[in-house]
Order: sequence, then structure tokens, then C-alpha cells
Amino acid sequence: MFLPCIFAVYHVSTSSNYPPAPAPVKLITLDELRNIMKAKDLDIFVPSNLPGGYRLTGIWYMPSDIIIVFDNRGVSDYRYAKIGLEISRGIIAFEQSKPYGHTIKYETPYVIVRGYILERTSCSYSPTGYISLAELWIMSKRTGKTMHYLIDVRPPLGMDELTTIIYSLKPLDEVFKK
Amino acid sequence: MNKFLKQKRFTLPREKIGEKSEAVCGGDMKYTKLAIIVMLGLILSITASATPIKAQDPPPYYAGYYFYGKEVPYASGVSGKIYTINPEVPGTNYFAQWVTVMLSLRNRYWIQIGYAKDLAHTGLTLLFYIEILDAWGHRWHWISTPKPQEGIVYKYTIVPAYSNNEWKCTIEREGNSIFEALKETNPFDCVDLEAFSETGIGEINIDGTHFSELSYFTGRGFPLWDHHVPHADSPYYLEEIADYEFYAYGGG
Repeated sequence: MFLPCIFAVYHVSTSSNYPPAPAPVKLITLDELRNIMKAKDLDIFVPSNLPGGYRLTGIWYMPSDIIIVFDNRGVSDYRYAKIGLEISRGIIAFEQSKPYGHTIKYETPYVIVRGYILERTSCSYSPTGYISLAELWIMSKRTGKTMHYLIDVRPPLGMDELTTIIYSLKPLDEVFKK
Repeated sequence: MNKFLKQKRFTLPREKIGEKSEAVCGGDMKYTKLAIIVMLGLILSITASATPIKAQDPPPYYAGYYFYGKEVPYASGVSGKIYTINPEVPGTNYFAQWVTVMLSLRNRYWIQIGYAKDLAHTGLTLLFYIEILDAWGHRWHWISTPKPQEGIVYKYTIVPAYSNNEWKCTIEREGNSIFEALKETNPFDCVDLEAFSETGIGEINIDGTHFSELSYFTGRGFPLWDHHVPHADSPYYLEEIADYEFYAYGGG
């Protein structure tokens, strides 16, 4: 009777589908992210409208990259959570970029958003091998700084959810109130 | 090459343990049963913690440096010198040494330049290559000429070309450019730099591996890496000379 339990615990602990992330990034808390944003005078924008059942599950940090993930199964691994925002400084301006996919441009009281959306694009971490992806340059009206965002959704989520997420971006402190 | 496919797992000898448990559980001495169950549990725990990584790690195997890991200046490209080795590659396996610009960690996108011996692609010959994995999928550019020569140091560089989402990829020998190409990626970003030796199996001996003058591109110049995050999968190991230089050994 106990033996199957031992096997079950052992099996779950050693053959998880969500192994540790193989890159020099570390999991940080929301408060730690707030401290980083404050130190860098940085605004970060996150979706205020998520599909039902999805919640913030992980914030991954390295000095050049911040990855914020949401999931409806509790998955915090940045590779396998179903919704992800990867935020960096970017190396070119939107004006220097070569258009691809569908071009998107809009403005809210908080941000000016410009970029490109791909309905179906390759990604080996996706269970189907495909994701919906947006590459965006988002300028904060408060700071005047532009950051580079890759926002994606994994199946079964698709373009509808990605579009909803993009158009619902708000400052992090408005979405996650202290 | 197949970066980040690696996932450490341990095998569970379930068949053997299952057979044994059936035989033992047929007895009627409950304390004996309990003791055996506890012993099996202990054995499982010990096996899990003591199993040698070499025997359990699936390929590929990496040995080298990540760039980021602490607050650093802005970087948008990479450059590094690699001494060319030519190890035996058994079966249909491969060996490669390269520098990489990571375009996205979450989506595992990158652009990479280096040299390889890949039985599936190059036969027994060493070849230079450029490899891209991005939103459009996986693409190879095997460079038929020139070919890398064993014992020679080549300098590999990837920098933004600042138009058409292209990267300028170059290979130099003794200060002279011997190959140049423009490669487009989507997305177009740089979230980390990497310099690694990679093998498909641990039986490939990479003794003699030497990466030096690892540099990052600032838009104006190429300062040497002033920090690094080392990583080596058993059976390989690193000798860290500086933030911008390492030797790697092992395998075979």
C-alpha cells in the first residue's frame, strides 16, 4: 500500500514537466520587482484583463530581461506558463524595425504602443510548437522611456486572448495594488 | 545548437523494484513488510541523490559562459575567439563551439555562429555555420567555404546591422575577415550573450577547448566581458581564466 505512494511521490518529484529554468535568471517577488522599477525609474505594464482562471504565477529577473508569466494551472516556469511578457530595453527603435505580421499602433492615458503581431509563430516550448506573439515598443507617458516587450500566449489561447491582453495593458501598480 | 533542450531527469528503476515488491509483499509478517518498505524508500532516496549526473543527463552537454548575471552596461552583440579542435565524433552525433545572441529566453530564440562537426549535416568535416531559431522557425546556414582548420584560432562576431532586422555575422582569421553574412531575425533583440562548447554525447572529448577575448558590442566598441556566469554539464568542466576567457575539458 505504501509502496505505490512512495513510487508516486518519487515519480512526480523526478519527472516533472516543468523542470528548473536553464538560464541565469532568478524568480523574484512582486515587491522585489517594484524595488527594481523604483531604482530604475521604470514603468512596467501588465494585462488588466486576463482569460478566466489565469493569475500571476512568476516574475523572472536578470539584469537584461524581465519575464512575467501568468497561468491557469499554477505553472511558474517561464518557458511553459501559458501567458508571458518578456521585457527588455531593446536594441533598436520601432522606427528602425522592419515590419512583419500585422502592425499595431494605439495609445492609452498611460502608454504609446507600436509593434507587430503574429497569429501563429514557431516556439519549441509550446505544446503544439506554435504560439501567438506580439513584438511591441511601449513608451511610458510618465517616464518617456520606451521598453521592448514580447507578449505571447500558448495554446489553447490564441489571437483573441493576445489582443485582449495587449489592449488591457496598465501600470503594474494599478493591476496589482499594494 | 539545440540549446535549452536539456532537462535534467533521473531514471527510476521501477521494473526491478516492482518485481521485488511483489515477491516480498506475499509474506504475512507485517513488521517485515513495513521494514522492507522503509528500506526500499531509503534506497530510492539514496538512489535519487547519489545517481551520477553523467549517466543520467540527456544530451546536449554544454560547457561555457553566459554573459549576464549582474547589472552591466548595454550590450547588443557578441564577439569571441575560439581555438579550433577536431575531436572524434562517434555515430551520428555532433560537436559544436559557438557564440550566441539570445533574442528571447521565454521563447528560446537565438542567433548563433561557430563551427561544428555534425555527422548528420557535415559528415566527418569541420564546417562553419550560422544557426537561427526565431519566430519563423529553425534555420541553418552551413558555410561550405572557407572551412575551419584544426589548431587555428578564429574570431566570431554577431552585431546588429541596424536595418531590416539584420545581424552582421563575421568570421575572422588573424584580423582578416574570411566570411560575412547578413541574417534577419524576428524578433530583433539581445537579452543575453553566450559562449559555449556543445556535444550531443558525453563520449566526445573536448580537451583543448579555448575561448578567449569574449567581448560585448556597445554600439561603438567591443569591451571584454567583465563578468560571466559559468556552466558545465558533467562530464565536462571549465577552467575559468577570466571573465572573457576559459578552457574546457572532459568527455571521451
